[in-house]
Amino acid sequence: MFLSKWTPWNFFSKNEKPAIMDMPYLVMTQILDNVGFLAIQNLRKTCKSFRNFIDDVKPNNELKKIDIFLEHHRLTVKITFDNDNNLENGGEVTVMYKEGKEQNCCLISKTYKSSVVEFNKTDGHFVDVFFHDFEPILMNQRSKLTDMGIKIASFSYQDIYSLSPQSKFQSIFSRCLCSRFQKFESVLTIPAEKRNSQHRKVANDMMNRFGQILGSRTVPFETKNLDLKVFKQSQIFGILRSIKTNSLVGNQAFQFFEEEDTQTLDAIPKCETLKNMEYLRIGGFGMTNSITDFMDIPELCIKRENISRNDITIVKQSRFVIITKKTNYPTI
Amino acid sequence: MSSTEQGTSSAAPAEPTTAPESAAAPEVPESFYYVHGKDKVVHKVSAGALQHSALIHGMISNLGYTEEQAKANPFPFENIDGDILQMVVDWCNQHKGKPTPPEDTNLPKQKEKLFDLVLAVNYLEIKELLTYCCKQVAMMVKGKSPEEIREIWMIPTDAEDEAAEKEAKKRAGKEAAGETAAAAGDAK
Repeated sequence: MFLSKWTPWNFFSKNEKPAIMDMPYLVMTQILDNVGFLAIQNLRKTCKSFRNFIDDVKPNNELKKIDIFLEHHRLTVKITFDNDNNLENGGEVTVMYKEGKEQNCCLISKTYKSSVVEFNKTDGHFVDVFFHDFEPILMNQRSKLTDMGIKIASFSYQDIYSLSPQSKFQSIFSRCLCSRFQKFESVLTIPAEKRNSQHRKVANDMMNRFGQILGSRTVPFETKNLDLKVFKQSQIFGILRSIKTNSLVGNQAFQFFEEEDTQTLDAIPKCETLKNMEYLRIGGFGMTNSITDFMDIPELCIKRENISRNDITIVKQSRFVIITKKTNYPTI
Repeated sequence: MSSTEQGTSSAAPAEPTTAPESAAAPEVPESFYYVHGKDKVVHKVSAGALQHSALIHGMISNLGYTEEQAKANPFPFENIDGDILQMVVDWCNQHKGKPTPPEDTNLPKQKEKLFDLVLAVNYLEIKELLTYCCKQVAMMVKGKSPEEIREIWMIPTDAEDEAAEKEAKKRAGKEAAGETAAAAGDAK
């Protein structure tokens, strides 16, 4: 029987009417497969036994896309469901985690079916709060996604940013009517350099956490398309180590004013997860290895700063298209 | 559950030695079998309808009952309420030899009845009906908050769960102590 193996409270309800906890294991898994993504998240909050059971069973869900975008002082996650199979849950949910005015304070806003819900959380950095919510989702996702995006915003030139209101949430309608916008949004001035260094630290921590979470899965996370925009090449490899994907877009988030060595992604074709790659597009990162390493990939878009004579012959023989830009940086 | 298992197991091994395997099936166009639940009300069901249940189908294909034998030995399902068994029988008759539709809207709306039906259908191994029932149970909590889900599915809170667990442990401890005392008494 379902939880009765682990929780002996079931002894008391032997002569009572059947409850959900009396369901056999296989029936319970079948029920959870039909519950849907959002209801599963709510079910995890009901009790410890259910939470453990869901984390153990990892029910199927209709989740198709996850898009994570880290900007300066805020993180936006957009999750998209399969519309065809489940009209009730169809559509998108957007969750935004914003840095609060005080330390370790976070403002969360959720948009679902064009309704917005906002609330404050006073016990955690916004990235920690995000992982608290999304770690189980990343750990429990069993079915293959169509798209997964983890993107980090480039450095900013601006010295100011607007902070979220800490007071009671004002409706969007009331904001539209009010001409004095600053009443609700306070603006802080922090030197761009400081903002950027904070952003880089948060981004590096976030990518490390992603690597740890995805790496601790027993089965690799699967997605058809993977879109990464990160600062370091090691962050790309950290994610690729534990994700299976058919297509990769890898971009570098720009770090202005920073004198760093040119980062290359030469080891990309050797990645185990990219053995059956159908599409590869690399932007920002350099590539120095031979073009023969990429011959198995049907669609390829990489940037080369220089190209050897051998590679040109191979490319011509293989009927690749070479686009040469005026900057004398050939793009293949 | 144990009484049903005993009932079915006592009926099952008695017949195969006397009757050859599914001898009556090709001669008689439609054979009937009899089942009864906790309320002892006997339901007459055709072999075609019973094919939905893997459990009963497995039993009757090995038994090879004649009409009289089937009438004299109804299958007892003591762990299934009479009204629930009636529901299952009606569903099997309704979908006899027909392709099952993608959705079934005639399932009970009350959760107690639905949970009873799920347990009965799972026991009788009626795959299609179990799929509908599971979907129906899942639909109950769609779009609901954790508190509402807890109420609808009668899920105990962590505190209630822990209290019950402690009480069960205490009870188990007492029982174990009683058993050891009894064993010591026997040894003396």
